[in-house]
Amino acid sequence: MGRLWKPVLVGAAVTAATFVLAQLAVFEPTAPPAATLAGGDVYRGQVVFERECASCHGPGAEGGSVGPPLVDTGLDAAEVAATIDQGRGVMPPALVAGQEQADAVAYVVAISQP
Amino acid sequence: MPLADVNDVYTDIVTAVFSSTIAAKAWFATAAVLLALVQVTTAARMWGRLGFLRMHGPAVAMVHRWSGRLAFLFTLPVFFHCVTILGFETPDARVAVHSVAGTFVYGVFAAKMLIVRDRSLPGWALPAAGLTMASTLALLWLTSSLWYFTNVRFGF
Repeated sequence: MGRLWKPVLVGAAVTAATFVLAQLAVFEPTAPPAATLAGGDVYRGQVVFERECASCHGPGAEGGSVGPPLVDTGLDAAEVAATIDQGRGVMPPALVAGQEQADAVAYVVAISQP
Repeated sequence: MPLADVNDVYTDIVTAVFSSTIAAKAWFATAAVLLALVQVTTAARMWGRLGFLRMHGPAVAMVHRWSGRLAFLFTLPVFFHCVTILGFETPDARVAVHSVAGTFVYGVFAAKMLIVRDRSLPGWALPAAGLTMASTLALLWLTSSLWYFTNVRFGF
């Protein structure tokens, strides 16, 4: 029983190190300025995009049977937000709203930068 | 290599196979949890439980060791992306629980690996550590992969 302190101590040290590493997020990419302006989160936006948009625009927004590719198209935040609000072609308006829209805009702007 | 490029390289590698980094993590975590299930089953067999299983002796020990090694390998890309790219976040309860459990998982793993090698410890220590490890992995899977498969998409 007395020797149990050693694995507990090592486990606690590894946990603490993980927490510090997670706080630093050393490889976290800097969000493009446009994405920051949109007030959205690129990673949450990726999830929203896959749920709401990828069925038409394809996985990773590389183009699908209905929606055009969005990668490397140089879209800006206002343009993406307006398209989501108003729809375009067969794309219905207001597929997402609020924070989810901001996140989706951030993601689309991030991947559309050439 | 500039730090920001690491994320790009990782994303390029992962998306060569999967539709996104999140999809990749969901499947890697699923593989790790399935192997953890093998771990729990073989550990129970080694401790004299689950007598209906035909496997016994060295074969069970070998399956236990290799399923553990593979499970650990499957967690590495998930750990890399979650900890060094996404970081500790608490925007909602699910992500908060996931972040806390993820912070503990390698600590529990390190403790378990030390306990398994120390035969002077009480008999309950190893099963307790193993079950804690499997439970932590299951909690991580429930708050990430299951959520992804049911709320985003079930696919690669």
